Amino acid sequence: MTASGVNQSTSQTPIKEKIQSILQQNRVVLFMKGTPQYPLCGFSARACAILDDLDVPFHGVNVLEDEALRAGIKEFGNWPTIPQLYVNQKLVGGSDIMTEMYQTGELQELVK
Amino acid sequence: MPPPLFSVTKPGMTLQQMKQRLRDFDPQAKIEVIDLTGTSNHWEVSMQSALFKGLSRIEQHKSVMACFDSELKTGEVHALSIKTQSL
Repeated sequence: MTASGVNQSTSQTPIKEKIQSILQQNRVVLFMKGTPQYPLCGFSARACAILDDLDVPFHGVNVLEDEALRAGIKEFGNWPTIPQLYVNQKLVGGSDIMTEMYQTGELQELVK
Repeated sequence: MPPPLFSVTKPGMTLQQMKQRLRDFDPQAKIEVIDLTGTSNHWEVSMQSALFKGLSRIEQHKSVMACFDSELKTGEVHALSIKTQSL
């Protein structure tokens, strides 16, 4: 609970600000478990493999390192699972949607 | 209190409970539920529903995940792979 009542309504929680700045600074962001070099979950590994296959430079964010970020990102885009792909600050989806879009060619279009 | 290293999960949903949640969402839906690892917490759900008509892929997936909102939070459902199609 923030003590200051000055900008109570406009004050954003640090986590939301942190997420927004990550998204503003990186065109393609994958919130994942582990790192692109060492993914720590099958779905995160698949998401990395898809992006690698498309030769898309992306910024991997290891949510396991920050419990508040792990909960915050789920709330931020109203998506309860990890990994999550964001392109141009918009939620694309998890590894299932990435796989489907990869198969239809939509993902290639999106990240061009 | 340091954050837990991993979430303590309850025993996990049964196949029937998983299916019931989806029927609660749409009784007419065609559903298929698979326990991916036999540990009752890694599930694959395929669902064809008229309620998905006009919804984007991401909205369709969100509505399926909403059926397991609390279990996804507790980790009782650890992984949920989703395939949707509108009818």
